[in-house]
Amino acid sequence: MRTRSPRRHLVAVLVLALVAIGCGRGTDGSDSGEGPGPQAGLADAPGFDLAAGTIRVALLTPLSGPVQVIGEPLLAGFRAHMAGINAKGGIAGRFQVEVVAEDNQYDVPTSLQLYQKVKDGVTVLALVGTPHVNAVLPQLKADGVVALAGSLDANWIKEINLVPYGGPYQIQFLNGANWYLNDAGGRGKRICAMAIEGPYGDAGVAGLEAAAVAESFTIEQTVRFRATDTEFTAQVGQLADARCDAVFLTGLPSTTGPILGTGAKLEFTPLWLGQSPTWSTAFTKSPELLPLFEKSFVLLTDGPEWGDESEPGMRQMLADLRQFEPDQEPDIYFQAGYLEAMAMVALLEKAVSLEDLSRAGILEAQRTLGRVSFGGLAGEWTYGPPEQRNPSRVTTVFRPNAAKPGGLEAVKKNLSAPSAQAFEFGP
Amino acid sequence: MNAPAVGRNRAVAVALVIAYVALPLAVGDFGLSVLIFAGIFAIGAIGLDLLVGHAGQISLGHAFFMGVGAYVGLNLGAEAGLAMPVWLAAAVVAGGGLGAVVGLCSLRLRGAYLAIITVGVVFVGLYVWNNVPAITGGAAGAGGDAPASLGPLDFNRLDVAGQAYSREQSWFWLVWGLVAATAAVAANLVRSRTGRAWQAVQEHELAASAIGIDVSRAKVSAFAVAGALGAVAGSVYFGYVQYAGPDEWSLFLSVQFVAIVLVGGSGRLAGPVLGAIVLGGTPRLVEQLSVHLPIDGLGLTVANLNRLLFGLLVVCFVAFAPGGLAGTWERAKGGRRALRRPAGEGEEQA
Amino acid sequence: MTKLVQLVVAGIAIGSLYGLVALGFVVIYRASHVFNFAHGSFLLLGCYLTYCFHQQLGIPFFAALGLAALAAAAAGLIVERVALRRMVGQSVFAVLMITIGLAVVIDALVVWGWGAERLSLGDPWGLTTFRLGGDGGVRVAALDIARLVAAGGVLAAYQLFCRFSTLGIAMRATASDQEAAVASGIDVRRVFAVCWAIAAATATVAGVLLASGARGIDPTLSAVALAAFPALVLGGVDSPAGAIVGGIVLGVVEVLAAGYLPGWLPGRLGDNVHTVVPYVVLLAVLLVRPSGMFGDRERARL
Repeated sequence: MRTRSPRRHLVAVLVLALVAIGCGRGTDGSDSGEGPGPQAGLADAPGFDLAAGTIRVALLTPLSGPVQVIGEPLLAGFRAHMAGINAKGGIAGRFQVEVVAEDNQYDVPTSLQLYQKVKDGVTVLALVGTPHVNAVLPQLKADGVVALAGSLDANWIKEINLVPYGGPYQIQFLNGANWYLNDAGGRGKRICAMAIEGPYGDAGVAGLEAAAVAESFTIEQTVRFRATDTEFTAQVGQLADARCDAVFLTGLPSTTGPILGTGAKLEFTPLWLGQSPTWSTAFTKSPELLPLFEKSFVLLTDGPEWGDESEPGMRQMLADLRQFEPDQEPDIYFQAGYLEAMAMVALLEKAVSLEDLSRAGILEAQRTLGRVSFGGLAGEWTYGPPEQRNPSRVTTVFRPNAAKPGGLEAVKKNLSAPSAQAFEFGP
Repeated sequence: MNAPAVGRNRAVAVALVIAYVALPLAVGDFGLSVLIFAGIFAIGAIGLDLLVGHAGQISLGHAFFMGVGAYVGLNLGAEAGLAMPVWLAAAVVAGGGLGAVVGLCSLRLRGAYLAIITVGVVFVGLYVWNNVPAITGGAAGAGGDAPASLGPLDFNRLDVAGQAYSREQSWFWLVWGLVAATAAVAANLVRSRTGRAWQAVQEHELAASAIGIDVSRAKVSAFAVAGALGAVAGSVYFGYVQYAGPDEWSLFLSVQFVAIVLVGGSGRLAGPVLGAIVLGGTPRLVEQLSVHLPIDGLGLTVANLNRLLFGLLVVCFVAFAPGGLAGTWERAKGGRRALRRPAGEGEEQA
Repeated sequence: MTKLVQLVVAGIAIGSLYGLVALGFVVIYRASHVFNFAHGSFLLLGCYLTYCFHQQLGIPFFAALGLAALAAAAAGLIVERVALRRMVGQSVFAVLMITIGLAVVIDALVVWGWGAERLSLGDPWGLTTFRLGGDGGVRVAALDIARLVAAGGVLAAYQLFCRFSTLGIAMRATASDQEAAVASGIDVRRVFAVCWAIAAATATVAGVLLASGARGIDPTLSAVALAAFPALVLGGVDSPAGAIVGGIVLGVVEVLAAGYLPGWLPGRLGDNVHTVVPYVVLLAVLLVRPSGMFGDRERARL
């Protein structure tokens, strides 16, 4: 090894740390992140440059790692909507949106560091993934920042620093159970649950339990599994032994295929009702799985059928897709990203109408936002103070059908069962 | 030590103190958050390095102890509202006790066998964190504000002489102060009888027992210390992040700790700290620089390019500096210490 | 009773897969004491290469698998030559670190090459299932049989190679006593290279068997290497037969635990306890036999 002065080594390390990781303090906006305070007319604010006419927003999403298949199309959908808005003149026809995308690698410390990286330079940010939203939330509260919560977890509903969208997991199963009992001959049949470990699984089971009370049935068997499991004979076997006619499933695409496959192996073919993250368009390209899915799988998620241009939201999304992401194949996660951008645009337009894009202004916009329609792409959401917030209570029931774009055919569009409407969220 | 070496060390110490005080005043919250996480990982890595680099044992279970500490912080800090010195001490006790239990396995097992059992410890942890909501909040995790005051200084809301500091600034001082304290404790341990016993066990276990060293005690104590420091890191993590989810304490996290110790250079005190800074900062550095690379049309996303570059950097670094950062430094300084055998050799082949 | 047999059969099948993965670890570890953290990545690479040859280039499945195994073996040789050859004499930990870095690199390259979407392997087993013993009998998937046969076949091939080929004997010698092997003129570097090639090839077979049927190919396949860790030590880290047997034992333990324990344990304690039980069993075995079931007893040298 060449000899080198260790003092130079040390200095090099320190300089590297300083230079490489960040610039000096107080360059972008103010330290505390507070805006200039209430005053008449629009003024510069974090992420908002009045003179240049731009609003900068950030999206923190997993673009690498195990859930890259969800993060990438989500970002594409988000960008497509923003591009469409910009093409029509921008927010309120005046301000162009700049999107900063960061890869949180589905790692919580990374999410937190990226939050610190972007927070002073953006007006609003969007987050994806329950543990990430949970971890960033205390910082959002302390900094007075609002973020969109890309996760169908019901815990966000009452948080004023979070703007969720879509129908929560509990709602999906409440509506799904109602559909199964009334429209699919499920009355008197045996209903079971198979849940992935984690908040998704728990939320789904909670919804099914609420449905059991509301619709007077019992859950015969609940089995659980982990995302990394590769072998499901034991769990599916238990469901088979319990003679389940319908199994409500929460999981990820990598587990849905093996689970249904195991069922087929054991000659156990209930109706599998899965929540949104259980599905992937890739299943329609699998000759082994497609017949199985078409016969015995049902997906519960938001929105109309892909290509259903009777819904203005779908028309708009398809137009933006053709123009800005023409290579994008039909994908429910693209749609989820598109929805997230729609919610963000509604928030920003409200803030512009209140003439305040500072931190306080965004919070106030969220407080007075009221009902937001997604053009039928998902159910309506009512934002506002915690007591008034009301999530979407609407779910669409899909069946896989390879002939349809995206592989999904809407069997029951925008179902809103009484049990789903009556469900009480959070403390 | 000769006079130039003493002078050099003093210069280094002064430079470090200046950096400690001045960095939060010069660097933005983003850089500080990177350094805070680096500091948290450094605390845990110092503990792991004592176990791996000094006592010659092996552990892939460090994530478990970090989890233990996080839940001590949650329950005693956030839920019970106990003061920071109390929950830090409790983390030391909990981590140390559980570490000693794991250490008992090391009396019978070696090398890959011991390593895999420590992997099992992580999985037992994941099982407990997910299925015992009473202490962990279950699958959804749990959040809260743990008190972070030392005397008159409240690091959650630092206000000194009329000047308010951001949370990132305050926690940088708190965390890196703890890093210094941990390093001091570790340095003392290494020089103590216990440390020398560890050294002897690492070099030649049979000979060590032949000359009267209590090998069992040395091993168990090494695991206990590693567990204690891992738990301290976890409790500080919870104090800073204010949330803990059950799946964060995964095998992947354990591997990150091992990587920090190895890249930093095991068996040398500066190693874990340097490793934590470099491995914590490099991904962010790569992200800043990769936007300038012309990769459009190659079918490679920026995110994947970042992962690729990070992996290549690690491989190249280890290939050219197998003693780690600290090892390279030692070799540059020359002298007796550079002749020390790197950790992992000797009778035990892990 | 049928339930018990059904679970045991499923356990043997998945256990064979674990054993096959563990075998790849053992091959390298035995000769060089290197723990190859990139093994899961070779599994991933081999699987995607099979997809490439079979689905993208249209080559018949088993020929594609063979080609992919050769290509993966070549990759293993390259990795050994470029990244590990220079590490000879360095500490085992440094080598471990390089394999960690390699795992990241290979995974990123695979995603660059094929994206992150789920792909279908187009394997011949698909969802084909046989029923043994009439109605209510035990169901065995063709894939389950394939996994068991492959594990046994690869093990047999490897044992024959070790016993009867010059290179194989050199490998055994190096595994037994590296210094003596060098002293008797064995090219130890060549032995290491061959070990990496063999490990990569077996990883390809394991990866294909993992992604077959309903599972599909996606970048998360490399995580199965973690599931094989306990199998690696249960059988003894230097015993190839031990790896297979250990894998099967642990596969059966895992499936039986998943099948019976949730019913016996109160509250949520039964949930996913099958992820922990294999390690508990492993610990129990190791406390009695610290070198695993078939591992070499450690001889203390003064």
